[in-house]
Amino acid sequence: MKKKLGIALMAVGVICIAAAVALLLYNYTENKNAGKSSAIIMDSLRMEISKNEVENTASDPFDTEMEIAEIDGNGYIGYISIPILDLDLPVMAEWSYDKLKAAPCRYYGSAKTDNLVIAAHDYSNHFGYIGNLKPDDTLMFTDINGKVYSYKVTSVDLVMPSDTDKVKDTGDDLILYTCNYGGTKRICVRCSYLK
Amino acid sequence: MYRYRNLILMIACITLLSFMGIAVFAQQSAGIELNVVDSEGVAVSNAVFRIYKAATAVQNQNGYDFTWDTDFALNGMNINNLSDAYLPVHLAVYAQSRDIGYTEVTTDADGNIVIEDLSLGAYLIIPVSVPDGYIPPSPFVVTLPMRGASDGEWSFYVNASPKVEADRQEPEKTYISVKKEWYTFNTHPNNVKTVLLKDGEIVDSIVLSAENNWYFKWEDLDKNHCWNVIETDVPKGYEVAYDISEMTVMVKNIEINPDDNPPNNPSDDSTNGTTKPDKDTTPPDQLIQTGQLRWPIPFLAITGLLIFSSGWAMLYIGKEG
Repeated sequence: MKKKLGIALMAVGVICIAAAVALLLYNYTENKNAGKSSAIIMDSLRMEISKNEVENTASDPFDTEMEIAEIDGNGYIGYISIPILDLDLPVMAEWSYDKLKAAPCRYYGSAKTDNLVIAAHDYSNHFGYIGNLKPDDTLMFTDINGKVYSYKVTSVDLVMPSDTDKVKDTGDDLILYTCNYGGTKRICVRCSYLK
Repeated sequence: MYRYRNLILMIACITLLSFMGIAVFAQQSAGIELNVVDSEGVAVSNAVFRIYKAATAVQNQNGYDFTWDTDFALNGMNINNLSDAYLPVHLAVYAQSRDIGYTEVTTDADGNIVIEDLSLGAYLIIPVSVPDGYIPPSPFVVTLPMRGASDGEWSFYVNASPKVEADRQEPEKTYISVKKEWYTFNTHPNNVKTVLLKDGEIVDSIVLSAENNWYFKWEDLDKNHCWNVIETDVPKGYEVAYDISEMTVMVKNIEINPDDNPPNNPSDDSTNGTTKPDKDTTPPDQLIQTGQLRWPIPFLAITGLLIFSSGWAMLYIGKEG
């Protein structure tokens, strides 16, 4: 009887360890795929932007909505560059959980109206390390016409998932956010526009 | 029966004549004559202007109703402000930033331009270039027909005399300031962008908010140029109007009834708002879940090791005992 119980416990222990390893592998693969798909999109996006720069597409100052480039069936508003984290990431025009697996997504606003909010997964090659940013670190957003909006970090804080009013129209010119480790809060990086 | 036939014919003739009258009126032609002179009254030749048709006029019982043409429907100003001195400045930036059709005309040796056979409406006239040594005039709007200030009569042929100033090349400085006013019973946006125009070109922008007390002043501006401030990003649900006092531009945002929105006003929620997910799996009052499922990994690993160890202990330590 004791022997049977010992074997059963060992089996359950092995199953738990296997589940942990499986989840670790799944996260690793998802992380790797996210980095790969972002890199592929970035190449297409850079080509699209350089084409728009050559054509000198005039931006409409009355249009608060950002221009969108269609790449592989998804709309993109530009890309975010965080030199200190060595990141260049495309930003999709709209968000969904499937889209977030490939690239950061616009959650709210527009760079033209200085209230852009970008959300991304905490993959190591997406927004996984934005919590390490410090005030005065610089980052850039480049729109589809090649216009570069430069920002500096003003603060990094944690907000609850229900605190939507702390990311929308807060007076911050740009906000990046992602989940913290447990997914119970959101890490918000608040930035102001550099003229 | 014969008598009725005559009556029917008579009614038909009257109806036909009435419609012909309307048709004749609808085709009422009008025109604009520009006489461009400098401050000394000397004619300025080779000055180039662009003419945009911004609105259409339709006669009513008391005069004429103007409505924005489709290309100008989203400019953010009220059509009833056609006489607003700042309207042409606002419309000029709007028109030049969009692919809107226009007619380009040049003054002759006497500084004249005559444009005929125009349909009734409001015409935006923007200077494109003036000969060297002159500063271009500000854009202006001509309505066809235009009511005479003294006699109240409607003129279908309008004469306008935009004046160009000689470029004094003096290093005089000026300033211009902008102040924001909200006319709403609800909460208004936290900030709004206004742009500085130098001879009609955008050269700077400023975000007005409570932080700067909704006020900003540009100083040390070259007095030889024409400076204006307008709001390009008119918040959704508002109209913009301007009041100018000395060198301060008061930018007023007046809340409008949603039912009064102009046609083709983009009303999709993605415009400057929260973008919609493809699958609405997160309640709208929640931020997106952007984390990978990591916390179970150490939990499962440690629990698994503990359970495995206890099973192993039970099996082998017990055996040895």
